[in-house]
Amino acid sequence: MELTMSCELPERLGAEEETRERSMERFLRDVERRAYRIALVSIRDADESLDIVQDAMISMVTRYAAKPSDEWRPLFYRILKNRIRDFHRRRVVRQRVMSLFGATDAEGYDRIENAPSPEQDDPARRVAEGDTMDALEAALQQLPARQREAFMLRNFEGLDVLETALAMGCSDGSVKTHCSRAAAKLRELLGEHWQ
Amino acid sequence: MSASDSQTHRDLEKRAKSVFDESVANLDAETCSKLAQARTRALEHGRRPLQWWPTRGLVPGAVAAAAALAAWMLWQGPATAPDGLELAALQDLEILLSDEELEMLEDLDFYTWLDEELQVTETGDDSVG
Repeated sequence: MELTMSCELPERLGAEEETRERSMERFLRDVERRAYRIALVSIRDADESLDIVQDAMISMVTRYAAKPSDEWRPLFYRILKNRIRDFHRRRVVRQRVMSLFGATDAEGYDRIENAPSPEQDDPARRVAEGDTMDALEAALQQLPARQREAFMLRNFEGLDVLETALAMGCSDGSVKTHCSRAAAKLRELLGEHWQ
Repeated sequence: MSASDSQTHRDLEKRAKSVFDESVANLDAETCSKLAQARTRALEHGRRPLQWWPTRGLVPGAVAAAAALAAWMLWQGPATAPDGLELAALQDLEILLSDEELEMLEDLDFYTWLDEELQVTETGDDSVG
């Protein structure tokens, strides 16, 4: 009897782990494309966005898989948000270090020289050309980071106010304020015709 | 906010979600494949025993390099540097010392090499090896 129980326990634990891994696999499959698009809107670099999503997935699996699954979504987006913030900070530091050595960027790429002209980055102009997602991306780029995060988590990922607050590490009141201001600014940037 | 503004905001949010959903649905096959690979790799990490500090051997060198870099950055500033400069350098140090910045420190070899290359270019020395 004791022998049977001692054999059953690891088996049961193994089965639980397998079930949890399958749930995590489904969760990641569900969020990965949207997470990638959100990262891409925030940093505008496809390869870096893929790396950031992968990092967020690894962190989610290795550190938070044991959390209740209804907490996974806000946790995952909090990790993603932190990775995006780290990317921006790292880029600033790297540029500062590079400027000390007199170079323009890691590969000699001059961001000022290659920055899009104001005409190219005008959301209203893109709307007129029928390029709606590009127009939306260009407009989102012009929002303050917190407003952009709140707007994307609420509307693109469908998190409710409390989940968004958890993901952003702020109060639910702040989330509402950020979202409202973001919507007003987007309306201003995209123009009446976008709707 | 007026009722009409509120309705306009809701319309805009609805339209934005629809445009975003469409862009997600139209992601190219290569990106979808890379995301699937990333997911597989992440799940593989979950099966490994947890490594608390996988790059332990790098830490003393990384800390020393970061401290030297921060000191050099402070030294580069003018004698009457504003407080903001020191603060920025300290923030850089904080970023450099965080455990996720080791990759940046590993790149220091590259920056050193780049600096040497630039000096060689300036002096017209194009010898190889």
